[in-house]
Amino acid sequence: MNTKIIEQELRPLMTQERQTMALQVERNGVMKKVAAVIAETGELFDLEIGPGTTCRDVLARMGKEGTHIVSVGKGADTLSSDDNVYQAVQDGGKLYIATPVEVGGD
Amino acid sequence: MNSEKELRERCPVDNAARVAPVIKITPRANVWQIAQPTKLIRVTSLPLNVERAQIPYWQERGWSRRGNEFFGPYRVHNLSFAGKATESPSGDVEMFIRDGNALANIMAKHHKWSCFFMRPEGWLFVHAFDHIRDVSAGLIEVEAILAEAYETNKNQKHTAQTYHYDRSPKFSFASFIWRILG
Repeated sequence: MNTKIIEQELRPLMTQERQTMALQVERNGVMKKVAAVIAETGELFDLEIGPGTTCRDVLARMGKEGTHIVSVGKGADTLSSDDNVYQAVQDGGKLYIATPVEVGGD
Repeated sequence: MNSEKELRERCPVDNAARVAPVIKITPRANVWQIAQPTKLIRVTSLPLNVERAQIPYWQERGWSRRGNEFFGPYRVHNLSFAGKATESPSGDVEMFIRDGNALANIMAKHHKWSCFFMRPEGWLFVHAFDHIRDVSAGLIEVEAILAEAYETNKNQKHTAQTYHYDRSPKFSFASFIWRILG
Protein backbone atom coordinates (compact mmCIF):
# COMPACT_ATOMS: atom_id res chain seq x y z
CA MET A 1 0.00 0.00 0.00
CA ASN A 2 2.75 2.40 1.00
CA THR A 3 4.73 1.56 -2.09
CA LYS A 4 1.69 2.25 -4.20
CA ILE A 5 1.24 5.65 -2.61
CA ILE A 6 4.88 6.50 -3.20
CA GLU A 7 4.78 5.39 -6.80
CA GLN A 8 1.51 7.05 -7.67
CA GLU A 9 1.47 10.22 -5.64
CA LEU A 10 4.88 11.10 -4.26
CA ARG A 11 7.12 10.30 -7.19
CA PRO A 12 5.41 12.62 -9.66
CA LEU A 13 5.44 15.28 -6.95
CA MET A 14 9.18 14.86 -6.35
CA THR A 15 9.90 15.11 -10.02
CA GLN A 16 7.91 18.29 -10.23
CA GLU A 17 9.71 19.66 -7.19
CA ARG A 18 13.06 18.86 -8.69
CA GLN A 19 12.03 20.52 -11.89
CA THR A 20 11.02 23.63 -9.97
CA MET A 21 14.34 23.60 -8.16
CA ALA A 22 16.19 23.33 -11.44
CA LEU A 23 14.23 26.29 -12.75
CA GLN A 24 15.01 28.30 -9.63
CA VAL A 25 18.69 27.48 -9.98
CA GLU A 26 18.59 28.70 -13.54
CA ARG A 27 16.72 31.90 -12.65
CA ASN A 28 18.90 32.72 -9.65
CA GLY A 29 21.96 32.67 -11.81
CA VAL A 30 23.80 29.77 -10.26
CA MET A 31 25.46 29.15 -13.58
CA LYS A 32 29.02 30.45 -13.64
CA LYS A 33 30.49 32.26 -16.58
CA VAL A 34 34.13 31.42 -17.06
CA ALA A 35 36.72 31.99 -19.72
CA ALA A 36 38.58 28.95 -20.93
CA VAL A 37 41.98 29.84 -22.32
CA ILE A 38 44.14 27.59 -24.43
CA ALA A 39 47.37 28.10 -22.47
CA GLU A 40 49.57 27.52 -25.49
CA THR A 41 48.01 30.09 -27.78
CA GLY A 42 45.88 32.29 -25.56
CA GLU A 43 42.73 31.57 -27.55
CA LEU A 44 39.64 32.35 -25.46
CA PHE A 45 36.35 30.54 -25.15
CA ASP A 46 33.43 31.71 -23.05
CA LEU A 47 31.82 28.92 -21.09
CA GLU A 48 28.77 28.76 -18.88
CA ILE A 49 28.99 25.94 -16.39
CA GLY A 50 26.48 24.57 -13.90
CA PRO A 51 27.07 22.88 -10.55
CA GLY A 52 28.79 19.54 -10.90
CA THR A 53 30.50 20.23 -14.21
CA THR A 54 33.64 18.12 -14.46
CA CYS A 55 36.87 18.70 -16.36
CA ARG A 56 35.87 15.91 -18.69
CA ASP A 57 32.71 17.81 -19.63
CA VAL A 58 34.68 20.97 -20.34
CA LEU A 59 37.34 19.22 -22.39
CA ALA A 60 34.75 17.22 -24.32
CA ARG A 61 32.85 20.42 -25.13
CA MET A 62 36.04 21.97 -26.44
CA GLY A 63 37.15 18.90 -28.32
CA LYS A 64 40.30 18.49 -26.20
CA GLU A 65 39.45 15.35 -24.28
CA GLY A 66 42.40 13.02 -23.82
CA THR A 67 44.97 15.47 -25.12
CA HIS A 68 44.69 18.34 -22.67
CA ILE A 69 44.16 18.97 -18.97
CA VAL A 70 42.42 21.75 -17.06
CA SER A 71 44.14 24.01 -14.57
CA VAL A 72 43.21 27.14 -12.69
CA GLY A 73 46.84 28.21 -13.09
CA LYS A 74 49.01 30.39 -10.87
CA GLY A 75 50.32 27.54 -8.77
CA ALA A 76 47.06 25.64 -8.45
CA ASP A 77 47.15 21.91 -9.01
CA THR A 78 45.97 20.64 -12.35
CA LEU A 79 42.51 19.16 -12.11
CA SER A 80 41.86 15.54 -12.90
CA SER A 81 39.16 14.61 -15.36
CA ASP A 82 36.63 13.82 -12.60
CA ASP A 83 37.26 16.98 -10.61
CA ASN A 84 34.46 19.46 -10.20
CA VAL A 85 35.36 22.53 -12.21
CA TYR A 86 32.40 24.46 -10.83
CA GLN A 87 33.88 24.37 -7.33
CA ALA A 88 37.42 25.07 -8.51
CA VAL A 89 36.74 28.27 -10.41
CA GLN A 90 35.01 31.49 -9.43
CA ASP A 91 32.34 33.17 -11.48
CA GLY A 92 34.17 35.26 -14.07
CA GLY A 93 37.39 33.33 -13.53
CA LYS A 94 39.74 31.72 -15.97
CA LEU A 95 40.48 28.11 -16.76
CA TYR A 96 43.61 27.12 -18.57
CA ILE A 97 43.53 24.26 -21.01
CA ALA A 98 47.05 22.90 -21.38
CA THR A 99 48.86 19.81 -22.54
CA PRO A 100 49.67 17.44 -19.68
CA VAL A 101 53.14 17.56 -18.15
CA GLU A 102 54.44 15.26 -15.46
CA VAL A 103 57.67 16.14 -13.74
CA GLY A 104 59.77 13.15 -12.69
CA GLY A 105 60.02 9.63 -13.98
CA ASP A 106 63.02 7.96 -15.59
CA MET B 1 -21.90 116.67 5.40
CA ASN B 2 -21.40 115.17 2.09
CA SER B 3 -21.81 111.65 2.83
CA GLU B 4 -20.93 109.07 0.30
CA LYS B 5 -24.62 108.34 -0.24
CA GLU B 6 -25.46 111.97 -1.08
CA LEU B 7 -22.54 112.24 -3.44
CA ARG B 8 -23.75 109.19 -5.31
CA GLU B 9 -27.24 110.69 -5.64
CA ARG B 10 -26.10 114.08 -6.81
CA CYS B 11 -23.37 113.00 -9.13
CA PRO B 12 -24.16 109.56 -10.42
CA VAL B 13 -21.05 107.95 -11.82
CA ASP B 14 -21.13 106.01 -15.01
CA ASN B 15 -20.20 102.38 -14.71
CA ALA B 16 -17.43 102.84 -17.23
CA ALA B 17 -15.97 105.68 -15.26
CA ARG B 18 -15.84 103.70 -12.13
CA VAL B 19 -12.34 102.81 -11.17
CA ALA B 20 -11.74 99.24 -10.47
CA PRO B 21 -10.30 98.55 -7.13
CA VAL B 22 -6.54 98.48 -7.34
CA ILE B 23 -4.92 95.29 -6.47
CA LYS B 24 -1.45 95.94 -5.38
CA ILE B 25 1.06 93.31 -6.20
CA THR B 26 4.16 93.75 -4.26
CA PRO B 27 7.22 91.67 -4.78
CA ARG B 28 7.61 88.97 -2.26
CA ALA B 29 10.17 89.21 0.37
CA ASN B 30 13.31 87.34 -0.45
CA VAL B 31 12.94 83.75 0.56
CA TRP B 32 16.13 81.77 0.88
CA GLN B 33 15.90 78.72 -1.21
CA ILE B 34 16.61 75.63 0.75
CA ALA B 35 19.06 73.50 -1.05
CA GLN B 36 17.39 70.35 -2.22
CA PRO B 37 19.27 67.16 -1.81
CA THR B 38 21.15 66.64 -5.00
CA LYS B 39 19.85 63.91 -7.12
CA LEU B 40 22.24 61.24 -8.29
CA ILE B 41 22.39 61.58 -11.99
CA ARG B 42 24.05 58.84 -13.91
CA VAL B 43 26.11 60.40 -16.61
CA THR B 44 25.90 57.88 -19.30
CA SER B 45 28.58 57.55 -21.84
CA LEU B 46 29.28 55.09 -24.52
CA PRO B 47 30.32 51.75 -23.05
CA LEU B 48 34.04 51.27 -23.18
CA ASN B 49 34.66 47.83 -24.44
CA VAL B 50 37.82 46.35 -23.08
CA GLU B 51 39.20 43.67 -25.27
CA ARG B 52 40.50 40.63 -23.46
CA ALA B 53 44.08 39.93 -24.26
CA GLN B 54 44.42 36.62 -26.00
CA ILE B 55 47.94 35.84 -24.98
CA PRO B 56 49.57 32.55 -24.04
CA TYR B 57 49.93 31.66 -20.38
CA TRP B 58 53.69 32.24 -20.30
CA GLN B 59 53.21 35.79 -21.53
CA GLU B 60 50.41 36.36 -19.02
CA ARG B 61 52.80 35.34 -16.23
CA GLY B 62 55.34 37.93 -17.29
CA TRP B 63 57.68 35.78 -19.33
CA SER B 64 59.37 37.02 -22.47
CA ARG B 65 60.82 35.32 -25.50
CA ARG B 66 64.25 35.73 -27.05
CA GLY B 67 64.68 33.46 -30.01
CA ASN B 68 64.05 29.94 -28.86
CA GLU B 69 64.52 30.83 -25.21
CA PHE B 70 61.94 32.06 -22.74
CA PHE B 71 62.77 33.95 -19.57
CA GLY B 72 60.61 34.92 -16.63
CA PRO B 73 59.76 34.25 -13.01
CA TYR B 74 57.97 31.32 -11.44
CA ARG B 75 55.66 33.14 -9.05
CA VAL B 76 54.14 31.23 -6.18
CA HIS B 77 52.39 32.98 -3.30
CA ASN B 78 54.88 35.70 -2.30
CA LEU B 79 57.89 33.89 -3.73
CA SER B 80 59.50 34.36 -7.08
CA PHE B 81 62.16 32.19 -8.72
CA ALA B 82 63.96 33.04 -11.92
CA GLY B 83 63.08 30.67 -14.70
CA LYS B 84 64.12 29.77 -18.19
CA ALA B 85 62.73 27.54 -20.91
CA THR B 86 64.24 26.46 -24.17
CA GLU B 87 62.38 25.23 -27.19
CA SER B 88 64.13 22.86 -29.55
CA PRO B 89 63.45 22.97 -33.30
CA SER B 90 61.42 19.78 -32.92
CA GLY B 91 59.11 21.61 -30.51
CA ASP B 92 60.22 19.94 -27.28
CA VAL B 93 60.55 22.25 -24.34
CA GLU B 94 63.01 22.09 -21.45
CA MET B 95 62.25 23.93 -18.24
CA PHE B 96 64.91 25.41 -15.94
CA ILE B 97 64.83 27.16 -12.61
CA ARG B 98 67.54 29.23 -10.96
CA ASP B 99 69.19 27.41 -8.07
CA GLY B 100 69.27 29.17 -4.73
CA ASN B 101 68.84 28.80 -1.00
CA ALA B 102 65.21 29.91 -1.08
CA LEU B 103 64.38 27.20 -3.60
CA ALA B 104 66.32 24.54 -1.68
CA ASN B 105 64.56 25.53 1.52
CA ILE B 106 61.08 24.95 0.19
CA MET B 107 61.87 22.02 -2.12
CA ALA B 108 64.25 20.02 0.06
CA LYS B 109 61.52 17.81 1.52
CA HIS B 110 59.41 17.58 -1.61
CA HIS B 111 59.31 14.21 -3.36
CA LYS B 112 60.04 15.83 -6.73
CA TRP B 113 63.16 17.66 -5.61
CA SER B 114 65.19 14.77 -7.03
CA CYS B 115 63.84 15.66 -10.49
CA PHE B 116 65.67 18.97 -10.45
CA PHE B 117 69.14 18.43 -11.92
CA MET B 118 72.09 20.77 -11.66
CA ARG B 119 73.16 22.42 -14.89
CA PRO B 120 75.88 24.99 -15.65
CA GLU B 121 75.49 28.66 -14.83
CA GLY B 122 73.38 28.05 -11.74
CA TRP B 123 70.35 26.56 -13.45
CA LEU B 124 68.44 23.48 -12.42
CA PHE B 125 66.90 21.38 -15.15
CA VAL B 126 63.37 20.18 -14.42
CA HIS B 127 63.13 16.64 -15.67
CA ALA B 128 59.78 15.65 -17.12
CA PHE B 129 58.42 12.16 -17.56
CA ASP B 130 57.41 12.89 -21.13
CA HIS B 131 58.07 15.59 -23.70
CA ILE B 132 56.85 19.03 -22.74
CA ARG B 133 55.02 20.29 -25.78
CA ASP B 134 54.72 23.94 -24.89
CA VAL B 135 56.18 26.42 -22.41
CA SER B 136 52.81 27.28 -20.87
CA ALA B 137 52.15 23.66 -19.90
CA GLY B 138 55.61 23.36 -18.35
CA LEU B 139 55.17 26.60 -16.49
CA ILE B 140 51.79 25.52 -15.07
CA GLU B 141 53.30 22.25 -13.85
CA VAL B 142 56.42 23.74 -12.27
CA GLU B 143 54.36 26.45 -10.56
CA ALA B 144 52.03 23.78 -9.18
CA ILE B 145 54.99 21.80 -7.79
CA LEU B 146 56.49 24.89 -6.18
CA ALA B 147 53.14 25.84 -4.66
CA GLU B 148 52.67 22.34 -3.30
CA ALA B 149 56.18 22.37 -1.81
CA TYR B 150 55.55 25.77 -0.27
CA GLU B 151 52.28 24.62 1.32
CA THR B 152 53.85 21.38 2.61
CA ASN B 153 56.77 23.29 4.07
CA LYS B 154 54.45 25.77 5.76
CA ASN B 155 52.25 23.01 7.23
CA GLN B 156 55.29 21.09 8.51
CA LYS B 157 56.57 24.18 10.27
CA HIS B 158 53.14 24.71 11.79
CA THR B 159 52.95 21.06 12.92
CA ALA B 160 56.42 21.27 14.47
CA GLN B 161 55.41 24.37 16.40
CA THR B 162 52.19 22.72 17.58
CA TYR B 163 54.08 19.60 18.64
CA HIS B 164 56.57 21.70 20.57
CA TYR B 165 53.69 23.45 22.29
CA ASP B 166 52.04 20.15 23.22
CA ARG B 167 55.27 18.87 24.74
CA SER B 168 55.37 21.71 27.20
CA PRO B 169 54.59 20.62 30.77
CA LYS B 170 51.01 21.11 31.83
CA PHE B 171 50.03 22.02 35.35
CA SER B 172 46.42 21.86 36.24
CA PHE B 173 44.36 21.23 39.33
CA ALA B 174 43.29 17.83 38.01
CA SER B 175 46.87 16.69 37.46
CA PHE B 176 47.79 17.94 40.92
CA ILE B 177 45.00 15.89 42.54
CA TRP B 178 45.91 12.89 40.43
CA ARG B 179 49.49 13.06 41.63
CA ILE B 180 48.45 13.26 45.28
CA LEU B 181 46.04 10.36 44.97
CA GLY B 182 48.45 8.36 42.88
